[in-house]
Amino acid sequence: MPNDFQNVAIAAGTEVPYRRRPPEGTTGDVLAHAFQTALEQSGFDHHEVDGFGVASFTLRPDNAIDMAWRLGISPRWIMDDSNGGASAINMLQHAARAIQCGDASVIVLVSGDRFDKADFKTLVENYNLVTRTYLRPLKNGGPNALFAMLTQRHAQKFKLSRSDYGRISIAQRAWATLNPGAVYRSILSLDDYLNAPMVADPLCLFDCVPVVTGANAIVLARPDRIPSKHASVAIRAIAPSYNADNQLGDGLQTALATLSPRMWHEAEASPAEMDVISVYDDYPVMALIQLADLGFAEDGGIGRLIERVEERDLSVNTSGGQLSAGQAGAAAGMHGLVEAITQLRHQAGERQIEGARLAVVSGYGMVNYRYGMCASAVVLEGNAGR
Amino acid sequence: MNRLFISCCSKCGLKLFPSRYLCPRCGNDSWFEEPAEWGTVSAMTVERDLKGTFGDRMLASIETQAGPTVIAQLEAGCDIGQKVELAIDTDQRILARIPSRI
Repeated sequence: MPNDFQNVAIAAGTEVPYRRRPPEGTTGDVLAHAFQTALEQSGFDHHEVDGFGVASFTLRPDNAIDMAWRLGISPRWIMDDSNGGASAINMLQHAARAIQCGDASVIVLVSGDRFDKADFKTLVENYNLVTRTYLRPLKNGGPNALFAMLTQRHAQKFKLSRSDYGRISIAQRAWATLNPGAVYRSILSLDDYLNAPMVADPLCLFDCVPVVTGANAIVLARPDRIPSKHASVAIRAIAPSYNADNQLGDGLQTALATLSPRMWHEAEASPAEMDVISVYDDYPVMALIQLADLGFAEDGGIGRLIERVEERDLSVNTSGGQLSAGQAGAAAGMHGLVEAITQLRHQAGERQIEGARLAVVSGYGMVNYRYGMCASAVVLEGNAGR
Repeated sequence: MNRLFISCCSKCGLKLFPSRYLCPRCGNDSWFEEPAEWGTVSAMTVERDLKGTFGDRMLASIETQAGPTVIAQLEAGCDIGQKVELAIDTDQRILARIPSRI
């Protein structure tokens, strides 16, 4: 079978409003809300859903099957995903193949978390066995210190200053002012950035994602099940990677650097053609690394890349990204995907990129000891302009 | 306070920390331990205690003399490239100490 994604389309992508303070209720409540909004956008009836996938850190002890029961759906394809920032693209890949192979025809994928302070602490201290064994005793308080050191090495290698990373946070915040769903929407100046409290040198408050409660959902279906006038999104290519370097590298490059040439070839597209770009931005340094790995820094290096993001020559993280919109746990990887779907469906309101047709989305995550073990990307094409 | 050890593949010699089941290079499953008694600071950060409960914590990435990089609590600020002594306590906390100049 050729490695194409024909006969499958994305019919919807939604976000439950992100909140800094968790509302009353449970993680399941937030995921159920996302399920309903996505289904409504897709136009499908809830009895038509025959595939269902979930990614969440805090749903336990429930799983996808428990959510299916609570939602009153009886799928014949089900998936629980535990790959954090790479979960959305992983679920997307599996769901697309299930639809292509006839195992399901309408699949809803949901991701998200409800966090209070204790939940978040438990999550970061017990993220995996390596973290619990060697990082928790250092009271490092989560991944900030690790990415502080990664940023330091990146800055040294590419001769960047604190302001250079700040320019990414500032550019994304400017997008966030146009997104009513972002938790932080006021303009950020370079002075604000440079005077912000340090979190883990060289990272300040505006380099670290605000933890939020929220959820995202997408709906995939066989194209013949989607009304022709409904704006939908096709998959051009997917490039997934897990444990690509066995953590023997320095984390300053992801597997996307190796995988992206083949992905662009399969997508029959190039970085220059991308109208919308969503890269996984748990920290500005990771946004820069993924942009470079995907081929957006080939003319003029990282310095020119930052300028192009600032000038909106590249439309990067148009929701404001996780840095301004918030990081809702396992929804983190789906946030950028939903933003790209929203843009390609021409539903992005004030921040809509005119005529957006092509997008690239990357996911990254599952920090092991020093940096993430997963990196994935997908190229998408919308039909809204037709 | 104990000596810190890293894993060394008994077949191909690849050195790793933390340890794995199988060697990613040759697939072998037997290992011997090699002490990592010192290393050099390759990156460092101060994890700020914004709420004022634990106090600031100094953490460093240390490239061990054995090869692998470990994350350690650093006893005092220093420059990148500083040589440090390594140990691990009973809580599995890796500690980096700047050698006293005699």
